Amino acid sequence: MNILVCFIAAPDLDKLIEEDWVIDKDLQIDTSFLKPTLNSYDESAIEIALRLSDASQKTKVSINHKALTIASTPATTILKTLNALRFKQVVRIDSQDDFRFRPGAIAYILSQYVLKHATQDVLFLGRQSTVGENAKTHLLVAERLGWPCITQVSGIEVIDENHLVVTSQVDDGQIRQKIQTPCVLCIGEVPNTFMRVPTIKDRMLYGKRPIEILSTTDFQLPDETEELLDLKVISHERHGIFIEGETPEQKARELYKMYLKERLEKI
Amino acid sequence: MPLKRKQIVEALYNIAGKDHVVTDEQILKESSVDRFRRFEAYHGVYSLPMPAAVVYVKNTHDVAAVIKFANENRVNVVPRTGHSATEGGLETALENSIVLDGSGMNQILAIDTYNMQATVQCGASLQELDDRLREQGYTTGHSPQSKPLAQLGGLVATRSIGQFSTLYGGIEDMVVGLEAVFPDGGITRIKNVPRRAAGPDIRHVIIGNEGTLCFITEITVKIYKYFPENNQFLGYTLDNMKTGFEILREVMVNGYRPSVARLYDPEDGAYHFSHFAEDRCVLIFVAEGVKPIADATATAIEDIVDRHDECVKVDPKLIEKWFAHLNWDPANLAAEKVEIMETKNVCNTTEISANWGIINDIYEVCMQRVRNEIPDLTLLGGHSSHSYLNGTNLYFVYFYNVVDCKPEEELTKYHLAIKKIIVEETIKAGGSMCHHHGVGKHRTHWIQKEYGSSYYILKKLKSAFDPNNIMNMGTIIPLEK
Amino acid sequence: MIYKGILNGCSTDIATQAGELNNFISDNLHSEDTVGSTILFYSEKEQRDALIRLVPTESVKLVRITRYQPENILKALTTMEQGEMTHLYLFPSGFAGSEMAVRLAFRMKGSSLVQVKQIEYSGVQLIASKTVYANHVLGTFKLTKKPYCVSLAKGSANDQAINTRDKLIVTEYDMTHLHENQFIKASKAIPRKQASNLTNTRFLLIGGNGMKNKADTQYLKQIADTIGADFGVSRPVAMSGWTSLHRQVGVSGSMTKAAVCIVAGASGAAAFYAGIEKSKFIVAINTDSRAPINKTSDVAIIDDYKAVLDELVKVMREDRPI
Repeated sequence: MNILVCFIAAPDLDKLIEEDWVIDKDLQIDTSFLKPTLNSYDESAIEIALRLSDASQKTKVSINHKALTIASTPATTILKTLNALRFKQVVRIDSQDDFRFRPGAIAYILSQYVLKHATQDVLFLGRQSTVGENAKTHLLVAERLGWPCITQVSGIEVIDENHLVVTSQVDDGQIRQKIQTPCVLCIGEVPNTFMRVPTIKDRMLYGKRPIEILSTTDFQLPDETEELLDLKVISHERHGIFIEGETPEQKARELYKMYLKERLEKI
Repeated sequence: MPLKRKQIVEALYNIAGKDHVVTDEQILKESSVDRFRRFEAYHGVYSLPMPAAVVYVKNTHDVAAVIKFANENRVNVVPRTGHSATEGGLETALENSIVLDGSGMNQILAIDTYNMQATVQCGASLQELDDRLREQGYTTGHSPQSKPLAQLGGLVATRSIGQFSTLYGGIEDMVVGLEAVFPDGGITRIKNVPRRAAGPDIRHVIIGNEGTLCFITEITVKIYKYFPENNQFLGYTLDNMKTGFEILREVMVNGYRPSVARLYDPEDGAYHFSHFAEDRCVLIFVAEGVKPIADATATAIEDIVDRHDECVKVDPKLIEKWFAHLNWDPANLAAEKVEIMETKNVCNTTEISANWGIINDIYEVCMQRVRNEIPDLTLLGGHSSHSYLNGTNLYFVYFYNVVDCKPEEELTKYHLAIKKIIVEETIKAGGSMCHHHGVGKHRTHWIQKEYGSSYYILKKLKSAFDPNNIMNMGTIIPLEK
Repeated sequence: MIYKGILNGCSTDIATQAGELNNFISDNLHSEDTVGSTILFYSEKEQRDALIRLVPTESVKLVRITRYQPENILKALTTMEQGEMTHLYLFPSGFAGSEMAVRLAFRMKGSSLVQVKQIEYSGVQLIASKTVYANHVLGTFKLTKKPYCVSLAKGSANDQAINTRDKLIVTEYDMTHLHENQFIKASKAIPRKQASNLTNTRFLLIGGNGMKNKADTQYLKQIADTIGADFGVSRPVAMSGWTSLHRQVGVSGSMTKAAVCIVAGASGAAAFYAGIEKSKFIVAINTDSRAPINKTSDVAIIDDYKAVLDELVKVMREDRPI
C-alpha cells in the first residue's frame, strides 16, 4: 500500500513571547528566529505511517510510505530525520511564495503531484497548520482528486492491499469504518503518537539519502477565492491580580471569601 | 543503635513544628532523588533509601537545631533549596535521611546599590532577585539555565555558573560573604568586604561544598550595573570545532571579556540552530556593559573572527532571540516529561573543563568513543559555553532511545556509561571532570583521580567539619562500603 | 442577501448547532434585505417535531436521510441547491460543519472559510474574520466567489432562546434512497458514552501540565466532583491518555463559557486559552509566577495547586454543605 504523508514545518508559536507578536506592513509576523518544527497532527500522521510500516510483517501488506512538504525554507533537518526514520522517499516542493493562507494552492499542488505520480493509495494530512489554521487543505485535495475523505482520524489498521479500518471522531462520538482505497485521511487528535527519534546510526545510514526537490514553478497555480486582508494581534489580558498569603491555605481562603463565594452562590 | 524513623520524625516535630515536617509518601519518594533519576521517577520507580522526612525550615535557628540533632544522633542530612540538581547530589543515599529544605527561607534581605551587593536567604529565587535588581538597573550577572527554578543556597553549594560567566565569572566570583550552619550546630558568618589577606579564603570551604560540610543559610553577592540596551549579539557558522576553540582562545588571551562566548558543534548546534546552521558549527558572542566597552569588545571580536575565512556571519537577531527563549521553566519541564514518556528518548549531559592545549583532543576522543561504544544514541554533541584565560569548558549533550531495559537500568546502560568515557578521557588528558554541575553522587568514583595528591585536603575538610559523617553522605566523597 | 443554515439533525449535538446558528444570525445577518432559511438533515422520524422547534429561521427544508455520511450530504446538497440563488451557506462549528463548508464551496465553485467569528456582506464580496496563528491573531479575509460557505467559530452559541415560530414553512424531502458511498464497506458508530458537558458548564475546574500522572488527574476530578464543578484538561494531559478526549478544553477540544473557571497547573498556551476565554471569571493556580496564564486570569495564586484546592474544599465545606 502506498501512503503519502503530507506535512508542513512551521515555528512552534508557543515559543514566541509577548513582544514577538508584531505584524508588519506586509502582514507578516517575524518567526525566522525559531527553528521549524512539526505540529502535533503532522507528528501523529508520521508516527502512524511508521507504525503501519512496522506492522507490515504481521499484516503481510507491504507499506510504501513517502513524505512530502511544500516549503520556502529548506527545513533540511526535518527532512533528513524522515529519511533516517526510513520513509521510502522524501520530497520537498520548493517555493518562495507565501502559502500561509492559500490552502487552495497547496491542495492544487498536492493533487497535481499525486496525479503525476499516480501510485498513491492513501494520503495522510494533518488537520491544520498552526499558522494559517485554514483546516481546508485535506478537503480540497480530496475534492480535486475526486477521492473520498475521512476527517479527524484517530486510528488506522491495514486489512489488505486495498482496505483499511479507520476510526475517526465525529461530532457525537466516534465511527469505525472499513473503507476501500484510494482515500484522503485527515489526522486529528491521536493520543500517544509522539514522533519517534531516529538513532545517530540510522541518520548516518539513511539520513543522507537524496531528497527529491521539485519547484512550485512546475505547477500552474489556480486563483484564490479567499484573500487575506488584515491581521491583528489579540490581547487576552485580564486583571491578573495575585492573591498573596503566607501559606497556600491562606490564599485558598482569601480566594473563596473575596472572589468565589458570591459568584458560586449565583450558579 | 541508629534512631528509628518514628523517633526522627518526632524530634523534627519538636524542633520545627509539625506543620513544617512532611512525611507524605509521594513527597518522600520525590525527595529521594533529583533530576539525575528523572526517567525512573517519571515511571514511578524509586529505588533509593527513603528519607524519614522533609523539613521545611523557617530560620537559621531551626537549621542549627535540626543539624545539631542529626549530628548527635548520626542521622544523614541532605540539604536542598530549589531541587533542580542534575548530578544526584540530592539523592538520599542512606535510609531515614532528613531532607533539610531551605526553600521557605526566601527573603531578599537587602539590596545595597551604593556598596553594590545584595543579601538574601538561601531559598531566595535567583529569578526573583535578578528581576528585582533589573527593575532598578542592576543585575547579579548570574544566569544559569535553571534560573527560573534554582535558589541561591543551592547555587552557591554547587558552584553554579551562568550564561554570562565569561564577563561576570562563576558564583565563586560573585559571593562576598556567607552565613552557614556546621554539623555541631554552630552558626558561622563570613563578613562582606572587598578583599582581605587574612589567611586562606575560607569562603571556599563553603562554596561548592554540595551540602557535605555545612548548610548555607544566607548569601551576599556582588551586583553589577545592567545596560541591556548596549548588548551586542554576534553569531557565526563555521566548519571546525578546532577553529572555534582557536577563536575563543584569541578573544580571551587578548583580554576581551564578552559576557557570552559559546561554540557549538554541528550536532548540538542542529538541536538549537537548524534554521540557520545546517551541519555547521556555531559561534556566539554577546558583548555587554557600558557602551564604549560593549562596542569595543564587539568590534574586536569581529576583527578576530574575520581573520578566519571559514566563519560566516549570521543575523544577530537570531542570536538575540535565541537567548530570550533559552531557560527552563516549569512548562518546559512538564512538556519534556510527556515527551520522554512517549518516545523513551532521554537527554543527559556531562560537563568538563580543560586548558586550551588539550580541549580539542578531549572533544574528539570523547565523541569518537561514545559514538562507537554506546548503543541507541539519537544525538551526540557538545558545546563550549564558559571560557577563561587558560582554557574553556565542554558540555557534552546526548540523547538516546531507551531500548530493552527497565527504567531503573537506564542510567547504567546509557548515561553513566557515557559519563565514564568522558570523565576518564578528561582526567587522563589533564582536565577536570566537573565544570559546573558539581560532583553529586555519580562522579565520586573518580574523585581521587580528579584531585590527585590534593585529595588529602578534601578528605581533611570532611573529617574536620563533619566528623560524624552526617552531611549529605555519598556526595563528592564516595560512601565507604 | 439570501442565506441558508445547514443543520445535522442526526447528531446528538443538534441543539448546540442550532444555538450557534441562531446566535450568529442575530449578530451578523439583521439587515432588512437578508432572507434566510434552514436545511435540516435528519434520519429518525420520531424526532422530526422536536427538531423543527430548533430551527432558527422562518422556513426550513427537512431532508430525511438514512445516515449523515459526508459524501451523501454533499450529493444531496448540490442536487437540491442547483440553480438556487443562495449567497451564503452557514454551517455549525463541528467537524461535519467545517468539512461540508469547504467541500460544498468547491463543488459549487464558490469560496469558503472555516471557524468564522464574524461576517459582513458588501454586496460584491463577503468579509469574514477568524483566529489564526494558534489563537494569537485575528485574521480578516475577503471571499470573492459566490456562494460563500462558512462554518462558525467554535463556542459561538449563547443561551439565547430560539423563537418557536407558529408559521414555520416546512418543505419535506425524502433522500433515504441515497446509498452509502461505495468506498465504505462497513461502518459502526460508537456514540460518546456521556455527551460532552463542558460547553455549557457554569463551573469548571481544569488541570494542565502540572499534573504529573494519571493519579493527579483522578485527584483533580475528585476535587471537581466535590465542589460541584465539571472537570476539564488541557491538551497535553488529554494526549497523555490520562482522561477521555472529550474533557479536552481549547481550540481542539471544548470551548467553554463558565461563570467560574479554575485552571490548575496550566501555563496557558493561546490555543488552550481560547477554550476558556469566554469565562466570566478565571482563577489560575500554578507554581510559575511568569506563566502567561496569570496575566490572562482575573486572579492568580502562585502555589502548589493541591494544597490550595484541598483547602478550598475545606472552606467550602465549612461554608455550606457540598
